[in-house]
Amino acid sequence: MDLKKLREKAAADFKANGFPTTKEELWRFTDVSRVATAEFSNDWKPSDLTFRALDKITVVFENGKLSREKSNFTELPEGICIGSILDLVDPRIGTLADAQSAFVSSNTAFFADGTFIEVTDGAKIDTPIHLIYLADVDGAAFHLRNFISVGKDAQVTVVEEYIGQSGATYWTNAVTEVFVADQGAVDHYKVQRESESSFHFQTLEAQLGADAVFSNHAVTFGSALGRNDIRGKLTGEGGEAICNGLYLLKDKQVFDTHIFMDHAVPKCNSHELYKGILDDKARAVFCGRILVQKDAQQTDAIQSNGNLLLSRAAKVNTLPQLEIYADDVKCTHGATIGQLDETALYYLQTRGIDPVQGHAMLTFAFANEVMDEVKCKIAKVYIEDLVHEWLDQVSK
Amino acid sequence: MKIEDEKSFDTLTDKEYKYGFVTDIESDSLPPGLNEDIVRAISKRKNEPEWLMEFRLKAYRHWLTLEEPKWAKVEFPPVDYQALSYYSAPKQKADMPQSLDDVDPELLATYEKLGIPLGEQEVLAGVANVAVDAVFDSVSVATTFKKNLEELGIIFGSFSDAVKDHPELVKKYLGTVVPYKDNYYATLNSAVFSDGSFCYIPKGVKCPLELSTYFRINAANTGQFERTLLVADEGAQVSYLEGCTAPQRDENQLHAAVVELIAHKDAKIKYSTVQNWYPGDKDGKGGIYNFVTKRGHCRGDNSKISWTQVETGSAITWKYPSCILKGDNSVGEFYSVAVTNNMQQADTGTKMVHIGKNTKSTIISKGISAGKAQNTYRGLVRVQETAENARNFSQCDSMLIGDRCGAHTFPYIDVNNPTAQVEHEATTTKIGEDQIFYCNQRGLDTEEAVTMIVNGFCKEVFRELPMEFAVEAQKLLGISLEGSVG
Repeated sequence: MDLKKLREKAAADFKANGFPTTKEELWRFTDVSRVATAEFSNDWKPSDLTFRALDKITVVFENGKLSREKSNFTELPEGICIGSILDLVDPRIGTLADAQSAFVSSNTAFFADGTFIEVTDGAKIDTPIHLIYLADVDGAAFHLRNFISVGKDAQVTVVEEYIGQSGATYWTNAVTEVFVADQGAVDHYKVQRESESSFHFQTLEAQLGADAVFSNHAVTFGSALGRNDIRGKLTGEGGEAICNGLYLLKDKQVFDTHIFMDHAVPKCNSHELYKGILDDKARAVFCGRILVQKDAQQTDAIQSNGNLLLSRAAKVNTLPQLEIYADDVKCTHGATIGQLDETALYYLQTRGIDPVQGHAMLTFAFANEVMDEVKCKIAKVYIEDLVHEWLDQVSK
Repeated sequence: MKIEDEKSFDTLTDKEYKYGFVTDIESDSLPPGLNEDIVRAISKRKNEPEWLMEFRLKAYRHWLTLEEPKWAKVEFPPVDYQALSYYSAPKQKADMPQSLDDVDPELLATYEKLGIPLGEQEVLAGVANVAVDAVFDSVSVATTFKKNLEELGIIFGSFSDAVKDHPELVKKYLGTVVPYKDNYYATLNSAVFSDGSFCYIPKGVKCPLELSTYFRINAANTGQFERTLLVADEGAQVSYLEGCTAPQRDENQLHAAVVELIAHKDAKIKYSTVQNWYPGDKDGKGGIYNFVTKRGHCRGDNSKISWTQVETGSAITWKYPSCILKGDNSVGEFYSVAVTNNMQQADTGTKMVHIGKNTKSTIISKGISAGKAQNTYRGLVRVQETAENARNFSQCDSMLIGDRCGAHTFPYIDVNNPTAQVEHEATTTKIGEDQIFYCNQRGLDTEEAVTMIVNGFCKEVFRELPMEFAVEAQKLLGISLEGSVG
């Protein structure tokens, strides 16, 4: 289907179905009526926001539009092609993202720009590709569409970072589709630092071939109301999907993470580790669903969700789900919600560490478990800095 | 070694449901259909007071506004509620049997067949130390040990008798745990419930006997809607057992029961169920739809309610025994084994709602799925803002036998208080070939080995059952899994 027809169909779907309500099982705990009833403009201006480039290659979007001046992707290593999704079209666009979702259909209908990355067979790209989305227009909606395709035995690291102007109210609606061919590897990071009064929704869908690896680390700090929909589709034997994440929420933030891991073939692994720290009146929703289809024997799926509540009014809804139709599988999931371990705090005190400092140490350690598996060193240092910064703010 | 062995598979799945016989007894039934007149007729037939009829009618009118819940992971053709008969009672010589001598001997023989001795002498002579209230289709037919219990002030008997003899108690507690508006099936039950058991344990009394209700559906095309109300007053303790069977019929039969438990300050209730309704044949024909609402209310401080269930029967099980932990330091427990084989479907679990301070709950659920069955654990743990230092531990283990079945886990965890500690764990396993091989090597055949391994898998739950029940449950497990290992 060409893009024009795809957009028309998506617009019709969106018009017919509208936004989801809390009556729908998948949206039970997240009320999006604030987004549904808000009016968004198409106003545009260049962004005043600054960012820290992680490495040589950056792709910068200013209020939803690619900025070639601020970006740096003219000199690229061999085997990779980067550009605006409007210039580079692939027939697979729109074939992966869940067309049933209102956020996906509105994105498909209205996306104004986004990143296109293609890595050819056998190419191993060492430099991380840093995608930066700056937002500082009050009242705007940004529909961003990204497409990442990695060829056979190819490798790439992509860091998506969303930065917003504090105080600005806007709606980011992003969709990222990732295709990983046989033996390919994608190391994907998402750092969400949107404005504290914004709405942020992203659907990230990845399809993995045989022996392919997709790893995703989603770290969330921002948005008043947000959600990550992450869907992994294991379609070739020996595939491995890792979805880890950290959400650090305060004030009245509401953040929802929905993960759906679809094991369609045998001998695949999937690992999910999600941790959350919640302060003030923040609320987190975590729903992780692992589906092991009938023929997906020898699946190894692990999922765990831990939550640390720092305040009386913070809330968590967690739903770790297993749906299994094959018998020779190893599936486990777990969820915990609680406070810091008193005995650990006491131990630190006996070693001369005061309670405030001990508290900070243990809180960081709780979050840091998610960071242990980060392969990209630059990303790891950057995210750790951000986590420390957040914890410092909270402890004040 | 190959576990697959088609021959033994065939011979074993053909094994009949042991309790599938029909008792040829004359019954007094209302015509099929459901409307206000039927609701009134049920109430009238039971000589109920005005307030109870009002309760039924309110429920019926509310039911008309409801739709069948669709969220459970079960599939079945729509139930035609107008085709069912909502009242069936074994025909009696006089009004009500005064003693066991008045009960139709055919009926007594039925219970005998089921292994439930109703003749008190027999009970006294035997080892069982259990008081039984037997419910046949819609009415309670006999209650044993009534006198002994009365001496202690314990009221135990049929719901209808309780309405006559202790209306104030029934009125005070009925619908306070499961309100008539609760859900589709509970509302339907509130409108048309026929009989059931009522039990009241007065202050400080520790019930010396295991109390037991035995449910039996006999008549064709009837629904069974019984209602159990169990109240443990301050400091009281009771252990309650429930068992069920039904004849083997080709059509599906509906069972929509409501169980309400109330535990006052320092009271303890232990409620055990061995559910063995007819599960349908191996192609999924017939069987009971078991849509049950069970809920316990820990009303007073330091109270405790413990649910133990062994679910082996029914074509479809839809059941979530729950605990509302309102009193401070109250404790809720849920131990469950759900076995599904052939075409059975089960969507079962629990709800633990923590309201009081220092409330604790434990959930241990073991799901075993074989044949083409679907087995789902669905549970909720909610910690309210007021529940300081609430603690929950949940463990849900699934075992799959064969590659055509499914095992699913859908826990919901809502925490609204930072002092809470909530943990949930789930695993999915299968019986290892090495385990079977080891057993074979020691001279056990594969069938025995599976039963043994599954029993080991369920050990934590069986341990919670009263002794007589534990033995029965282990046997039942063996029967329902027969043929699952081909």
